[in-house]
Amino acid sequence: MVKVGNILNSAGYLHLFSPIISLGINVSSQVLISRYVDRIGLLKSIFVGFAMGAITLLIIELCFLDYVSSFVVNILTYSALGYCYFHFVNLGETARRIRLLRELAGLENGLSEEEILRRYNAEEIVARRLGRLIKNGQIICKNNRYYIGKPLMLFISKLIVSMKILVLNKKSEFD
Amino acid sequence: MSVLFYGLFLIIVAFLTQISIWKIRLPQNHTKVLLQIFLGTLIVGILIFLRFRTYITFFGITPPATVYEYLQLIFLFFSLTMAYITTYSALEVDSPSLVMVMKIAKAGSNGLRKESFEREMNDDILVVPRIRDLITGGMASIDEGRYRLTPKGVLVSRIFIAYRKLMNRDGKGG
Repeated sequence: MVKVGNILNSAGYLHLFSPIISLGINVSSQVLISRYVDRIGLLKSIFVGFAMGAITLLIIELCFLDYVSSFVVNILTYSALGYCYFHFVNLGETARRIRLLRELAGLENGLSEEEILRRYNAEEIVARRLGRLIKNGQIICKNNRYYIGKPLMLFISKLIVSMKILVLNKKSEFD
Repeated sequence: MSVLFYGLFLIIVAFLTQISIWKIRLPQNHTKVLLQIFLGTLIVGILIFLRFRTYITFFGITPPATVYEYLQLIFLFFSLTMAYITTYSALEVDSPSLVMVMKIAKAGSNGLRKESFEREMNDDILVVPRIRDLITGGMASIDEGRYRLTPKGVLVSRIFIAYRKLMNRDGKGG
């Protein structure tokens, strides 16, 4: 039988909810940094927010540490939640669907496909990403040709393609 | 150890169930079916652990025994499920950066000519499929050739607009 009695005290709750409390610290510190510290970019603010949440989690865990495995569970839970938050922020910044939603927002008459493409198109998408990839050294532009620079982005791309094959049985959405 | 072991065990079972179903037939609404599979696995798993706890032992580890442990297991399972679904949604569509890097890598040591690269990265590959996704996902409707947001689309757009405002992000993004 499952035991109920011995856990529902305040310390138990604090330990149980520590990943969620830490996520709250993560999100609030990330938002504050993003709003008020100009010299820290968005990506860095996400990393700093994650670190703040992790420190909170460590403090709570050190106060209530009973088993190492319980600590590992909370670390895993917090990391997964932090990863989801990173994706949420990233969606708002880079996702094409979200940008399209934002373009359509507040327009009672909507937009035709041509009007959408005048506001947001492949040229803008490529320019923005190419700029980032060249700036980070992932792509090199030489003599009017593009080459792979640092291998990190290529490695990530290959990893994603492998996952697509495993999960979706195809390399690309156009297959 | 019990929560960690059986939490990860249930996640692996749910993942393998999903892969098996996907091999037979891809569903219409991936996210909805994924949620059903993962939630179903969690519920069935917990019921089995509760009913047959005394008979189950893997590597000397028995299923969770207290409500506390079950709550911890549910939190772990949900957070990993959300992380997986988030990653999955990124797998469903081709990211422009991924397409760009793979095209350049495919060209090998000769590199890829700027003109042919720009020709291949067009609206039909990068934008039009995402406009269609808004219709498929119920976030926009098309009427007389004009795209308008549905209430669901309005809600999602408001969430992101508000959050970007909260973070003081004034660039266009996308």
